[in-house]
Amino acid sequence: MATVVLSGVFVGLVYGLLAVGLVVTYRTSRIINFAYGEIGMLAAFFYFDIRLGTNTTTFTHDRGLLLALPVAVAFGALLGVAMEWTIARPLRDNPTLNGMVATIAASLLFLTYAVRRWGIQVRTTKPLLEGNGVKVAGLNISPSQLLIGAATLVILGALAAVYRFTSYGLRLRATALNPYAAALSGINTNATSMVTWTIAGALSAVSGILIAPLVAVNAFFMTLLALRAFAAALAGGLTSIWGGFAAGVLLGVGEAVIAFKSPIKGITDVVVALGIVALVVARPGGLVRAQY
Amino acid sequence: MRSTDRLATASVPIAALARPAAWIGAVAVCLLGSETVSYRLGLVGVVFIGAIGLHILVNWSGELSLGHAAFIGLPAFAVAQLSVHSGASPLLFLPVGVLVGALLGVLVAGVALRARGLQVALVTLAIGIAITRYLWTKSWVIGPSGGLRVPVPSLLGIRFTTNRSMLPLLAVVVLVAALAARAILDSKVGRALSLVRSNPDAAAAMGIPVEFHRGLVYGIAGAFAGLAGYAYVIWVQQVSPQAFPLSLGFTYLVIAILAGKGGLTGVALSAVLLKGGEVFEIVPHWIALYVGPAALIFNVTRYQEGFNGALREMRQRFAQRRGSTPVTPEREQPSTGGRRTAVRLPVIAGAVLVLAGFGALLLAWYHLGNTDQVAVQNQDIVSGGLGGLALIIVGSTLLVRDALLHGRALVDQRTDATVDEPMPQTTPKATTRRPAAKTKSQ
Repeated sequence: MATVVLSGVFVGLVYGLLAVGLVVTYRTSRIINFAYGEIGMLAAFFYFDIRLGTNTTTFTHDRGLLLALPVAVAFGALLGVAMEWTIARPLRDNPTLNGMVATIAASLLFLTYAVRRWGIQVRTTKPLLEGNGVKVAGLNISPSQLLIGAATLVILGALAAVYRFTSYGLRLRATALNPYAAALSGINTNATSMVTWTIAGALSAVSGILIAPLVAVNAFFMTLLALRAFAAALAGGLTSIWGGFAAGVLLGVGEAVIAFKSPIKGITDVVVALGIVALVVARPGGLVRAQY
Repeated sequence: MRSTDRLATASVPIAALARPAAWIGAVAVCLLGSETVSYRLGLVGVVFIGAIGLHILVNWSGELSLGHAAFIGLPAFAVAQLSVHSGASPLLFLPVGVLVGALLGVLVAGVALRARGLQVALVTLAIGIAITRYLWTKSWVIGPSGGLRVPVPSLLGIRFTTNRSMLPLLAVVVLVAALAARAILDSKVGRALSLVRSNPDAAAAMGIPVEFHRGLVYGIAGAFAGLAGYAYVIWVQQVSPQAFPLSLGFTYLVIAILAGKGGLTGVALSAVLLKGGEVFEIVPHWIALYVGPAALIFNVTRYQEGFNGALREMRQRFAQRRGSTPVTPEREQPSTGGRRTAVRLPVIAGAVLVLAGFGALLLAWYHLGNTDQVAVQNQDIVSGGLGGLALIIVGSTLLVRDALLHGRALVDQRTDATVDEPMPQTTPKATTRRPAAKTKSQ
């Protein structure tokens, strides 16, 4: 049971990371990015292509982390920029529900490309770092999980620092709070919007790459994870970064426990879905108030 | 004596008849297709019905539903299960499909109305996921693992063993759906939905119950989805969960949003292009998978009017070129019922006979192709072939005679008009020199 909770914590960290990306996007563009998971999926697939080669049945060589990781993350960031330019920017002054449908269409495009290029079967992956892991309080923590923990800490810490202590972070927050007033104050809202989506794309790429060794990787693996992230972001009212992150972690733990206890297949998806429904019915504003 | 009095006329509402005639003609042409073609056309029709509901929901009310696959699938399973368990033909369960769909829609509305703004999308997605991940695995919903086969559809003793024979029936279902949608959109409800979408506060100030209408529109979308599910069951006659994945809802959303705000023509065009393109494989499948979403992104971010907008623009340009007044931009053109043209009786009779003749020829040709017995073929040649030819000759004779008579009548008319023309009166001042100009009368 304790191992279940532990693995749930680490998966929850990734959910939290994804939720942070979603919240950051929503705060800036008022659009829920339904293609968020697919950005991470494409980046993860490119990472494995670069690192392990395109032959998916056998490992012929391993080119190592240092080349593949930055390229894949940059690719994710690039996808974020592309989405900002084609979808978020034209709809900035009038973000309707159709704007989200455009992101759904983008996710369909990404999925089509992925299925055509890599097929729908599960792909073999390798952990990012080899090693034996550590033993803490009688529980084994694998290197992948350690990496998740470390990466989450570093990334979120850096993000929080940028947002709170730098002038550029102030500009990002101002654009998120009120783009019109921010533009009047001389902030280049085009640039801040693009930077936000770049950060979000990179976050998604990192999340996808981090969680890939722990789950079955096929073209749809991030879509289901992103659903959890949507639920977590909703719990944060779509605007609170820490609320979304905390909800993601709790969701990861809760999901692991439920999957462990219940023999019904697919129960976790249903629980998450019903949780979203319950949340919206009971507390549409989310459980946590946002601070800008 | 005027020879124009001799030609009897009947007033015929040509413009109003044009659309039903086109419909019947289209179905007749479709009947000439093979079984595969008919099957695919039916699939396009089913998608059209489902898209109507989503069109009203998204384009007229500004709501969103990402779980449309569940809206269509659940009524389909309900109809199929009832049909299988009772042994009755699935054709009888149309009310069941519509009712289950409407109830599901109202249920979703109860939740979605609490959502603020963009959370609506997540809630509908969540409900769609809950249904597809849970109910689609339960055997009391989806039946045995090989899929649920319904009994052969039959109505009043007629069994429809081929899809081609059932195509007119499906066309009737599609027509009913289209007429119902048209009635809703043209009524008070449609206008209220439009106002609720554009300005809910103004609508509330005018006394329109906003929440009720928002709930109603989900119920309407659910009802149409239920009808589409019923149509799917009677057409494909086998239902399995793989037919209603969550991505189907996205496909419907693409079709509905590409249709744009307006009437059903855009929806039809969208459904035919997207689903028809997919089933008839006009372009390679993978190109279609890219083009659809890309067109959607383009429509949402730049054009924003959809097919209905494009059709409106075309109509306006066409009307301007003709010189008539441009049509109202917001609604589809009102039906032109009530305008009647006087058409001479022989023309009507002649046209009907010619068409009947061609119809007989086509039937004869179709039957000839279906049998290889020479005796039957000879019968067909005589009855359909020669009979059809005779009808065409008689009809053409009537048309020619009418044209000759009408021509003569026109000449008579012009002569009479010239004879009766009032004489130009010359003024007293100018006539001093030319008195002889007055002698043209009589």
